Amino acid sequence: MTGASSLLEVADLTKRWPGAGAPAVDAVSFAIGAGERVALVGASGSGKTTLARLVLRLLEPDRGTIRFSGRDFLALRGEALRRTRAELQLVFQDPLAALDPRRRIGAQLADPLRAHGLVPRAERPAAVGALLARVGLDPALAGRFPHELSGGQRQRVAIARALASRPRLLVLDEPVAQLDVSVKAQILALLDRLHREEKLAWLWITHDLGSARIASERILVMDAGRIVEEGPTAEVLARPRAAATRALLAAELRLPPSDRVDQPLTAPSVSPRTM
Amino acid sequence: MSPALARFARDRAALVAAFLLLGLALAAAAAPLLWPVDPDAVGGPPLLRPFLDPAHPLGTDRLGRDVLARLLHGARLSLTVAVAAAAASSVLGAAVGLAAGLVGGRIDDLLMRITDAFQTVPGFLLALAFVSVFGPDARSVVLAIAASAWTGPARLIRAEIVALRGRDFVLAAIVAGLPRRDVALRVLLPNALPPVVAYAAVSVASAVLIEAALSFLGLADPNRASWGAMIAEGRAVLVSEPWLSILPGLALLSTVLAVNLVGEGLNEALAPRRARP
Repeated sequence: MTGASSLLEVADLTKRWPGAGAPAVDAVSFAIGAGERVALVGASGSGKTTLARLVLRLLEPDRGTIRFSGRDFLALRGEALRRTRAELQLVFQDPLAALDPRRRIGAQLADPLRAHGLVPRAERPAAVGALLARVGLDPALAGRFPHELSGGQRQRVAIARALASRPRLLVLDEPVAQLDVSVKAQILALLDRLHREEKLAWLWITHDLGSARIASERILVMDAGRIVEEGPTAEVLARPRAAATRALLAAELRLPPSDRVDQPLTAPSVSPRTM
Repeated sequence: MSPALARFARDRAALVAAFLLLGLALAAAAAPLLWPVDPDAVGGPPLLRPFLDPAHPLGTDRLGRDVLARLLHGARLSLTVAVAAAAASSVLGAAVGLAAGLVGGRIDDLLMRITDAFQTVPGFLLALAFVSVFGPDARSVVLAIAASAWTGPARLIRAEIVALRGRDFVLAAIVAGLPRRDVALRVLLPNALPPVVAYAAVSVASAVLIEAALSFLGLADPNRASWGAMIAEGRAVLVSEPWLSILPGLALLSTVLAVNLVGEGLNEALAPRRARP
């Protein structure tokens, strides 16, 4: 734990869905320092997405505390919460669901620029074009609707929107699961540059240890709502202690090599999940 | 062409119905130019049968008034009243539903119980009561129909808003920092509206029928030609001269059928779940 200098400090966070037996997120505590890259791995249904939504306050926890930039994040209301979210962004798991089907890409990318008063109206089209170019997309896509884009393009739009308000912490829920290998590499390179140049920190949520391995220094392993193991990524994955970590490693070994992001990124074969 | 429009155009029945309605609306609007005969003037022998006299292609009624002119002017009244009533009930219903869905809690409960209360009274009875109090002119017929028809769109839009509130793209708009008002008006409302538009189209059909029924009972403006009133007048000579009831009946039937087909076509074309390839 990084203690007082932490950007995000979560303690004892608990959320139980009404009617459910066990909590979806059970007494979870962790911290992320400024500019630190942390991965959160776990099987489907282990509570990763619920945790992401709790951290963004899209859900209210039953118990626990969240401190962001030294402030009590759970105490923020209305305008203060809205303002603070500029620094704390989320990339959703399913980019098609995360984009408004009835609004053009450009309008949705302009949302954070307008909402946080970052770019004057006249300069917004250019700023939107720059955001698209930043994630390797043609600025002309601003005029398209989400359903006119491919899965990979949509995820890059979602990432561009999350980066628009210059966040200090990015929560990424399975950000590259839908991207093909070359786009994956491009997005990882972009995020890596932001990490180095702007001290962007992130919580990289995935069930795929390959992307966790290259996108994090520290890893949290989640199972049935609890953090069951944490430590430096290389160390944890080399010498796993928890059964959940070993199960994830065993699952990874059964995947075809082309699906593993830690293989050479120039691999000629393309993931079957492309598109 | 927008994707919704393209989907609508693929629905043959809806497209044919839309052109039929368009033709009817144009004919109704251009009635004074198209067939410049006074629908209320006694212009020929009474009870002239259709297709016998070119001066009165669809014949004349018991008073010798031209049936074609009365049908065209009846279309004006029916369509104007129906469209105005559907628009008024949609706007009122959408406002109530949006408020209930957005605010939630006690306001939601209160608004929905009021909606339930209105819904338990049969629409036609409410319209009857309304017209008998406020008099039988076109405006009170519109208000009477709207007063009984707003509950549909209100429930519809509330249900849409409640379902949309937890969807990822709405949460994403909140995360992007949009103020609550923008989330409501720029994101929630446009996504909740399509089923209401489709419902409004269908409710035009029931408004046409309620207007006709009120006219049939003599509760609409007696000085204006109306399909319902024509059927009522034809009833007296139904056995000997059935066309006097059949012709306005056919006009009513085809209009209601066409409006329903267009409404269903819109519903299919605008359904958000189908908006994805």
